[in-house]
Amino acid sequence: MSRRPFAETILVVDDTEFMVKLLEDIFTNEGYRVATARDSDQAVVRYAELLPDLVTLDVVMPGADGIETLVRLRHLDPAVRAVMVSAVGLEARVLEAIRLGARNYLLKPFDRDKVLDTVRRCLDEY
Amino acid sequence: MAPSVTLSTEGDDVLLHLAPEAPQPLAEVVARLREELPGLAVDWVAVREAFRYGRGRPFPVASRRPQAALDEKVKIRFSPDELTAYLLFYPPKPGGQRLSEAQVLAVVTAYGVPPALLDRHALRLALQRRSCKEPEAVARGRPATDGASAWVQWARGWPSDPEGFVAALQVEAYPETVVAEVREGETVGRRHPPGAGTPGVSAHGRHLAPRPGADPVELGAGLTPSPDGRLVLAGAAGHLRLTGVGGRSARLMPLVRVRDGQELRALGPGIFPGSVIVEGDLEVGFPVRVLGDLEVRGSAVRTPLDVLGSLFVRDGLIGQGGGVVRVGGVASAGFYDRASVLAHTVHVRRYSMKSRLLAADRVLAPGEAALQGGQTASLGTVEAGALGSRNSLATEIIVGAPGLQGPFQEAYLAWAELARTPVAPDRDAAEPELLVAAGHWARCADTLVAPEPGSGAVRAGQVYGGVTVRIGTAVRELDAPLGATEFGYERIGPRGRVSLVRK
Repeated sequence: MSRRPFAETILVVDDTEFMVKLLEDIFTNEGYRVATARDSDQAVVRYAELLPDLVTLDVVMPGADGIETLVRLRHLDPAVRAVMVSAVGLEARVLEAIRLGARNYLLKPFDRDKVLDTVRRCLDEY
Repeated sequence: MAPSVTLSTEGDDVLLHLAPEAPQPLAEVVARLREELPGLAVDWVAVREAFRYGRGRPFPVASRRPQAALDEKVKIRFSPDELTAYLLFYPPKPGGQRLSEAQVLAVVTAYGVPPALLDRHALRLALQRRSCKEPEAVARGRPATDGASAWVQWARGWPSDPEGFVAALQVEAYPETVVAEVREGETVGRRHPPGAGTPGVSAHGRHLAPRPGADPVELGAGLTPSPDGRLVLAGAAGHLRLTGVGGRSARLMPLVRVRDGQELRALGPGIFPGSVIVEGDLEVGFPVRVLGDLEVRGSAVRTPLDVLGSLFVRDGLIGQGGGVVRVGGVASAGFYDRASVLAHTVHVRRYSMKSRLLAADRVLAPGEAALQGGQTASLGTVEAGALGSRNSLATEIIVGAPGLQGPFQEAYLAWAELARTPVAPDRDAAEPELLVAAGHWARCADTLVAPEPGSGAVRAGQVYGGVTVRIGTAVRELDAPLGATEFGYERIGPRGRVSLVRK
């Protein structure tokens, strides 16, 4: 996967430290700038500050979940590029997120190449 | 709508104007556009781009043409240093149209890319390729060029700093004197002020301010700038010594000129806070201690010397069992005969015979110069025209061996102590300089480290039998002569090995 000569920022939103670290490592090693948020409120604040090029949103989070966070982010920026992150078995929720404007989804456990490919394809869309 | 966020139309296009310092968050701009443009397909990606990159300029964010949403789109992305703008194309959706060159240029302008920085050829390539996967660099900014640092062009090109001294001595026609003697009021240098630098411009038109040059020039005791600041003048007669790296700082030292060593008795005990020229031979039974440089225009014979600056002996440095010579800078002599010398750099212009030479940095015997007999050691390197002699005189060369730093530590501490010793009342003025020197040599003693075992190298144009080379703990004895050779250290076995490469 060829790196772009400009920096692209990804906001990783997940309540699990391990998942945040995992995605952060994958993206950082690929040359992306990475910001993180551990819950919905933090995600909205970080998004408004950074206007990242893409957001990964964990579907299941305590308090406002990934779908509710997506709605809040789309209210803030209708052009938000979001990729939902979900465990197997939550397909219905993922489809709901896609209907609400998420660009794609990733299933746990992750395959590094698949993660990067999905993210790259989203970033290459307008 | 607040005045910092306004809309206008141009043909079918709706343009968003965001004031450069518009305080509204993006969400508020979005809400206002929803309110102001009901029923119109707003390009929210363009709104976001306008918010990030298009402040202060009209940015197309919507169109009254129903199919506009299906048309091809473009974006500009900037490199992290902001000096390159990349153009990305996103293909049209079914029923949409490609953008014309004029439309693409309008968007590029909306991003703030100055037309003067646009690369028309690259733009044409991008229009042919129309890809977001292979972004084309369509504009390049100019980086700011920082201002040059201030410097002084010293008159006559005096090589008075240790590095300049060595560089000057390495050429065949080395100077006849290393003392830069100046008269009171003489112009000793021309000061070049720090440069302002040249401003640059980013690929999106932002002014890039250069950093003005630094002013590291320090004029020490006895030196003053002229009223317009352009010249450096000597406040008194004396010896100009460059003290900083690259001649950035200098000071004037008192200079005493004597016919022979006996006249030095008049300087009294303790350290002389200046530089000395001995016109003839120097052969006295008492130690000569000089804060600055010492130049002997004959030979120095059996005289113990402590020179905290550099030593230049036009003829020979002759020891013959008496007079250890310790030098803080460079020790340079035509020849060394049974001399015992410790210096930062030892420079041998013709030969060294059965002498003990020890350098903190390097021993240099360039050209045809030879190290014959005795022991030559260095914490760094030894470079010589020849090692040993035709009659296989026992000659030992040592580099990077543990314990070599010990004599330096001892000398530095002795010099710090010497500089702290009260001077004669008529030399009160020199006391601040002596205290600076005391601090300097005490720091040198504290920070001196043992050489890395096996570090350093020995290079010679010719090596004779009878030479022993020690590097770290490894030893190599040579029975037969060799041509040009470089010795190094190999980590093989418990003691390592002296490697040998013939040049």
